[in-house]
Amino acid sequence: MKNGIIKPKALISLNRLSPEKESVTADGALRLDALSTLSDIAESPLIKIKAPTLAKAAFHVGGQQIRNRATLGGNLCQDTRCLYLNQSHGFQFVDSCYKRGGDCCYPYPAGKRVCRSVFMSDTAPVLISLGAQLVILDNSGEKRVDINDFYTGDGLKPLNLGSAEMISAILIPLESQKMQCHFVKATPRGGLEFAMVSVAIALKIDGPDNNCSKARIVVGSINTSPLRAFKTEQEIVGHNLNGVLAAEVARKVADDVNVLPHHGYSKGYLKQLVEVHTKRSLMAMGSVFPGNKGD
Amino acid sequence: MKQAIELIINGETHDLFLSSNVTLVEAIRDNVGLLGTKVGCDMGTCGACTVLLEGKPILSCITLAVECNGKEITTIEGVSDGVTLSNLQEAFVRKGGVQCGFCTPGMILSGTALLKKNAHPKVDEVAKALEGNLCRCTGYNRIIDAVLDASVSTSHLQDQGEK
Amino acid sequence: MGELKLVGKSLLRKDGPDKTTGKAKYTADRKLPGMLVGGILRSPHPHAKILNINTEKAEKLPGVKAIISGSDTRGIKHGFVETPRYPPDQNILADDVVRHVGEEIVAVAATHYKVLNDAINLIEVTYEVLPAVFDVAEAMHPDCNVQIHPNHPKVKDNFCNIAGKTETQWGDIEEGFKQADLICVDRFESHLRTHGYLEPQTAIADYRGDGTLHMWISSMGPFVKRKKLASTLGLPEGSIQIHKAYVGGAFGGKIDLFSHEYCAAALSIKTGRPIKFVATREEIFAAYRHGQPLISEIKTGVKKDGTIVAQQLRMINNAGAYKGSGVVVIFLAWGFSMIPYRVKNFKYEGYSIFTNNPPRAPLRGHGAPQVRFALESHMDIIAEKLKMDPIALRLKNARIPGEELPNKDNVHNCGLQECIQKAVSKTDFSNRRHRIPNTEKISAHRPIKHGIGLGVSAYFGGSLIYPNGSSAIVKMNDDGSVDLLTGAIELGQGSETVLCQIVGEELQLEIEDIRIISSDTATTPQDIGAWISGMTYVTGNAVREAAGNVREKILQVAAEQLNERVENLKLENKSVLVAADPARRISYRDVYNASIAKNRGDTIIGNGHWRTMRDEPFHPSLATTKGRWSENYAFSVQVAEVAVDTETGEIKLLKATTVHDCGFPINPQLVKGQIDGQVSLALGHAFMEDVMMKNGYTLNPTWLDYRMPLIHNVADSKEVDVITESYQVGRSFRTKEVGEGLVSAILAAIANAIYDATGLRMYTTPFSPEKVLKGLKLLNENKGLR
Repeated sequence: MKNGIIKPKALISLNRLSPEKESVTADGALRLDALSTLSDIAESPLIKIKAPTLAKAAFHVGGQQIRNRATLGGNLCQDTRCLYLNQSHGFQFVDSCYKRGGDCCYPYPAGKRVCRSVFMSDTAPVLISLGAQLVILDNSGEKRVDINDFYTGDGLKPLNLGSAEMISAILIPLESQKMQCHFVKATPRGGLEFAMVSVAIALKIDGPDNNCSKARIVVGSINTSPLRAFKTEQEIVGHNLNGVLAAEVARKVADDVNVLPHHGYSKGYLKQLVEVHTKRSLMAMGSVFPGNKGD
Repeated sequence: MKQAIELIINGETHDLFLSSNVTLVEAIRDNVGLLGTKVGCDMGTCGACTVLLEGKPILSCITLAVECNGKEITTIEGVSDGVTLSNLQEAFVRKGGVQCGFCTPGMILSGTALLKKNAHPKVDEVAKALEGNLCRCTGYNRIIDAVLDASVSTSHLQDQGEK
Repeated sequence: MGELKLVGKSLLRKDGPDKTTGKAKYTADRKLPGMLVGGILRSPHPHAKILNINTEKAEKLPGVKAIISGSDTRGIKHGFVETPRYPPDQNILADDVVRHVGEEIVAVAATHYKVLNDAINLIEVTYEVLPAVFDVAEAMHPDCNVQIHPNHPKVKDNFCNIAGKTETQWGDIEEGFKQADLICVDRFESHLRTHGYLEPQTAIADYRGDGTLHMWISSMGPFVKRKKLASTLGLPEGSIQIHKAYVGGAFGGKIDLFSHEYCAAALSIKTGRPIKFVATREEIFAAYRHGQPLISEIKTGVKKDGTIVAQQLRMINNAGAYKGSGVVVIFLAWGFSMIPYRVKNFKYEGYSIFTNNPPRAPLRGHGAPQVRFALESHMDIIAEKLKMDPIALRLKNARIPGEELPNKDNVHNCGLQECIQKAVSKTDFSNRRHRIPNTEKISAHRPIKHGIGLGVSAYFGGSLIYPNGSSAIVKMNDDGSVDLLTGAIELGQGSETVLCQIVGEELQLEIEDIRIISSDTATTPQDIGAWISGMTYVTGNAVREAAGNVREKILQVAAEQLNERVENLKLENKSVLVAADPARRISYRDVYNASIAKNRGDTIIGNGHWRTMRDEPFHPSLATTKGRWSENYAFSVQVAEVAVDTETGEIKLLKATTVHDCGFPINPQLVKGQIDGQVSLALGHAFMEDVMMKNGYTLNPTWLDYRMPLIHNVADSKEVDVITESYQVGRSFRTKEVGEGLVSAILAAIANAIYDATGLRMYTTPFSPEKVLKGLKLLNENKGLR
């Protein structure tokens, strides 16, 4: 609002609604109030046990002061970002770009009416990897939406959320809580900034052969929405991952997702980071890949 | 649209009548007149405007005053008892954690909140608590020393049965 | 002689308690009745003709009190440098042409910020956009079709957009190269970074009915600001009073005149009301003055034994749309090139080139970081080519005590040789650096490589530029305590504390017995300001003299009262006593009263003044470097230990060791604080800070995307003093400097450490992860590795 990117007619504070504490539903799902602050999520003993990658993602958003006010719902519903957009436009980039309701795009001047501003949420990739469901409230009541259907991939309208709708709760299914998970947020300084790239992985290893029966590999902060490496996921599902080279899977993931340059980082560099951090994540999930040499 | 609100700052109640788009830092500095809270960027990126809202550090430049109606706020003026510096304030001076001083109020509030929650923080916990406060002068070395030093002296006081 | 009482001790800073309690007042903490707020309409184009400005709608807005534009300030020029060779060229508000994005066009005074912003949005300006040039190579090129200003009339080189040139030489450069056994040519480039001071640019002006203009400014030197305001406003200096305010950091970015300061004064005069201007953080990033991008082209000839026989340098600065401090940085770049090492045959050319970017300001080190990065990397390259130890190479050419510099200055008690030796021994440098660079195959399991590097730098401590000298007054109180009146400004460097320590030493007082009143142009004497690294030396000696003056008077009166000779007396505990018979004594309080009684009301006031380069009329020539520059040269050697992640390109500065010859530290803790801060600045310069500009626009005008070091990025910073001077009561002292010169060698050391770790030589800053990865890939391809 301070930058004039949005000029709402009315602002309604949700401050007076106290968030419900995190709880476990009858079917074992972890239920989180959308109004939970990121610091509450980061410090919750229950969430650290049942969804540690979510606690970690929340822990690395901004700084302490931001985490104390920012909510999980807010983090999931944040707008996409672009250097040319996120300024005050007093004397720079004065003409409104597509995202501001105008007629141009500064970083991509030629071409169709497409916006390649990037979705920077850290909690979204994690919740996608955990197969979360969103409880969305509107005038007629409540509905459940698979988080995979929540993000449009359209930089101009990144969320599948109507003007009279809001997220009220987030559900993490019991099955996801038992998966092997990992999350990494790559930043230049280690805090107070958006990610260069983020990688959220959830793998289900079970059965007599310890095969991977389910895989979700999500890359964040590199496109208009978080991206699943679907092709790679399908390739590793059904296989025993012993001896699978983390490096090879990582290379596939980096090819699988379309990386957009953002915030001064080039596409090539970000793609390299996707590969390195996916590889390091998989290596860190060591127990899944015993005998893995990584090279 | 103006609203009547009550801000409880450092234990004192202030009745204010202000527009709903007034930020908390504007209310504190201009309406209440407490000038210790600084404005470095006015957009939530530097931490100079840090105050405690119900004991938790927040950025007052991106918080609306009306949303803090009836809530307890601590500003830098509320850290010492008015006569003697708090352990942390003293440690900042003693350890050289202050140079230009512009980041100092925010740093001290973030540090005060940390020590209240975690009396013996490790270095990485100090860093995590203060990562949202920029400093350009000190390089942070002496700030970390000050927080760690204060944690020791605070616990000494506790051991001796003092407050 | 004996032990010193206060000097040399890490006394706690006097302003510490006020700064930790929120009581310390900065410029924006001043409220005046009826105060208006001011703002500026800025150019959205990097280069354009202004065809028309229409402020009618804005003027009619209720709450708008006054508006001024270029027509009100036509003909008023100012500049960082104002000499016959470089006359002032900056406008307060744009004349008919704007030459950079963000250039000031109209200033508005209003009752509230909402009205102010609405008013600015209602001002209509029509432009004719002109072609613009941003890159220095393009702007210089003889065929460049954009001439921002005419070339400097005295520079005849066939380049375009020449703002200024510095050139000098000695010896015979051609002959020198003929004598060389090895010639090495390198080019380095330093990028655009900014100061990032936490306190925004702020000014308050209050023009009063009696014709006095009162101001509060976040600045580095109130007397410098006063002079520029007086000349631009056409007011006598004495009618302008700039009052004290603490300053929330400056680092070079708050010394010259800014439009908002003039506009605050002019609008206060126009409206008869006080007015406050606070620049937004975005304005500061996108329209104010940043540091100096610099290209260094170096050609050096050395003998087999490492003796440097010839060096030819060309430095090119991207000045921005007006001269700014660019014409000074090309002079300084010469200085920082020639101080540390002896070069028999030398040729230097420095060019400052206009581009359609905002003009530049000094940024801590003012060219030294850029130059030493280039030259120290170059030294390591030479050492490797000669198959010579890089330490031996440096020792061979490093200045020795008493050596005369080519400009006839003397390095006096230069501690450079000792600094090099101590740096090496303290860090075990020679054993820890790789004999050959560490270019073994990158392994996924061991992607982190470690390296160690060293850099040498030198800086000057005090030179001549307005106001050229500092004065101080020390006055006694009844109780024997004193007040120190000094124009010195406290930016965080600890000037108030250090100056009180000097007073305390001269008068044998505790620091609590000294009250300091500072940085007010009417109530405190002139001061050179917190720039050109001269405060401790120049103001310090002025303060010492003033306190010494008081000491003499105290001793005179005491001698009379005790019926003793002055030589037999000593000062102790706010008393004067007979050294041989301490029972015979008189308290300062009684001395004070006696002075009033016996000396016709003399309340014992001491004054002192000091000027560096006392025998020189003015600063050396910016054009030719001829002339004496400084009588204090500081030397430093810094060692960096880095960890390079060869898969992500990210580099961490693990440890910085600073060995410095600052003379002697008056307050070791404050010195350490300066070192830590400069190490942090250097690592920001090296790895993470970058003002990203495209076509004259700043893409990252916020702290979210201009990345300054956080608490996570702290480096282990150690320091070693090399003491080459001393302090004696009653004698003038030579200190050097410690506030600006310690960014440079560490930056160079980081570059050399990266080479040590990976074999990758960085020729441009920042050493961004992307560059590192690209470089490593090329290296590995060339070496046939993966």
